[in-house]
Amino acid sequence: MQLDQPFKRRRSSLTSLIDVIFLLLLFFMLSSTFSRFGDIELTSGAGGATSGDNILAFAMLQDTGLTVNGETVSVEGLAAFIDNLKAQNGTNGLVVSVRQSASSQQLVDLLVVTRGLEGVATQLIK
Amino acid sequence: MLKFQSRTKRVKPEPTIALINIVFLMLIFFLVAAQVAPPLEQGLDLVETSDLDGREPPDSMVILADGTLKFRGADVTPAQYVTVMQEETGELAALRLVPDRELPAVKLIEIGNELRAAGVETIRLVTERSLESGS
Repeated sequence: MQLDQPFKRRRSSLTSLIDVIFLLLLFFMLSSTFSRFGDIELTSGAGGATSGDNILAFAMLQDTGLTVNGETVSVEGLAAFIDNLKAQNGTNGLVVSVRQSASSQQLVDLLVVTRGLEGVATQLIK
Repeated sequence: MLKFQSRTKRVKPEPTIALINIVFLMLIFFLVAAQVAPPLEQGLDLVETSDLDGREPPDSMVILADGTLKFRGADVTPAQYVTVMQEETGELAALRLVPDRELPAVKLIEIGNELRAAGVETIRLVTERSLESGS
């Protein structure tokens, strides 16, 4: 008997819809991050095995800055400085002595630059 | 007096559709702009870099500024971390570390050497890309 009655569409309740959307919103707000991550290889302590003679430049990294072969060099200017050395005497290695006062931020800044140096193997020592 | 009472009864409810519109907008914003990530350690300031390739959020060992090692909220040693990662991924070619930017670099190198001694070939440091890099 009830089947005979015409089906009447009732307006569905908005409240449950809002509940679900709120839940989704909360989930994504709490579980997501806006940081963008990058990564860089930590150069191995052994360094690259270059064949033949090694002509090394010696860098020292500490909290006050970077010195290469005794001269103070900015991290941004390191690439140009090493290129200059390479042209002068064929430097093909860079030994970086990391002092106690140097922070990870400084080390990574340095690694970003040395990563782009072609034909120069970087070695980190304590 | 009668008139006043009849007026208060006629107050309409707030429009629900407008509320849903705003919440929908926020939902879509978070879906598009953010990425779901496991939370890192509290009080950790990541190293900032500007020109590295991007990668997905890390699930890796965190090194706090005082040299404490944490993995998924628990204190670990480098050897334990290597064991856990070996069990999970089945190989040890590359591991990632998330150092604090104030961690002494010497300590970082020491931990790197310990991991290498445990058989890890490549160690990568996870950094946070600062805004000026563009993506």
